[in-house]
Amino acid sequence: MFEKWRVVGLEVHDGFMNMAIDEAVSEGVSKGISPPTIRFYRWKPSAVSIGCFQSLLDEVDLKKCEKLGIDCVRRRTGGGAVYHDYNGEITYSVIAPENFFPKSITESYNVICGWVIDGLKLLGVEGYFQPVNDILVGGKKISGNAQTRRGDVLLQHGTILYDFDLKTMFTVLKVGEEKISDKMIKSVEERVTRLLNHVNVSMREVTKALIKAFTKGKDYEIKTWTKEELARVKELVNLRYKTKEWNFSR
Amino acid sequence: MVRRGFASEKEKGGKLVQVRVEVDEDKVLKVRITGDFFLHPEEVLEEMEESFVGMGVFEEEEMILESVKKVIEEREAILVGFTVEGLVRIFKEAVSSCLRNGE
Repeated sequence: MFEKWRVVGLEVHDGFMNMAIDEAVSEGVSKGISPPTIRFYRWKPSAVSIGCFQSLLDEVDLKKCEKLGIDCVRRRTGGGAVYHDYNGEITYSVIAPENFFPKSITESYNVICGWVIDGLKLLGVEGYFQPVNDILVGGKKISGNAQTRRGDVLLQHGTILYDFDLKTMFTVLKVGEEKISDKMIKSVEERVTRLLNHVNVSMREVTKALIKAFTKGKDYEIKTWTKEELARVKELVNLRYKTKEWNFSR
Repeated sequence: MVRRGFASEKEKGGKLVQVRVEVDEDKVLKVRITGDFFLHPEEVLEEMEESFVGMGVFEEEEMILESVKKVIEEREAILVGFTVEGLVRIFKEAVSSCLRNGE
């Protein structure tokens, strides 16, 4: 049993690797060979992730993605399609034994989203949790979150919107037949917000605040991945996350 | 002749659920459920899809509901952002759309 949390941040990987790290560490925690882990990361190249029950063809314009060099990957968690812009987002994952958290799904979202909200507060931004899985600021969504539980391990990952690239987002995500119009962008701006609308901070400062909030009251150490984990990550990238079988399974 | 149908619905405050079905003259051959909902454990979705297969195209809603509920109870599955009643309603609508397409 590990006594300390491991904190890893802020890393940059491609989408396949990011999803494989979450899974490899979940397996490690399940086997008792990886510590409970909090990680922060970005996506390079920018990527689209889809929920595990979504259809890639329904959600994503693959030709546009290819043209723009944007990767597409299916997550192991439910929820919707997300455009992860390299300059526009910080993502976190929390991977720990299920019994660290309330049994109720909503309650456990509430706990971990509470850490995100505390992080925002350190930056002077007032956010609040809106079930099932969103964090809002002033009535607009700033963070989406998704959770899965397997092998007695809870994995929750989520995004914190730092900046927008709405045009690219609408180009790669299928948002209906409507043409990408100023009106459409305006309507999203009424529902979604970003940190830079509220406070002038760097990504580094955001990460620092998030780490402080996520680790509050926890015994932790800043560490990186083990050789075993990285070997498994490599396997999972090739066996799952880069494969057509996985990404087009629905 | 195989006919294909589709229906989708987003319950108020819930997530989008889409159902695609394939039916022949009298029964359901294939069901695919997609959407941005959550289900724990995730693998149960395939078993839920399977529970619809073989149903008669005019099967009574209560019977369908019972069969899907059985899977959910046996696997102690948790649905987040949708309900089993809503799912069955969408399934029925998808089957109806096949029948309409066949006319």
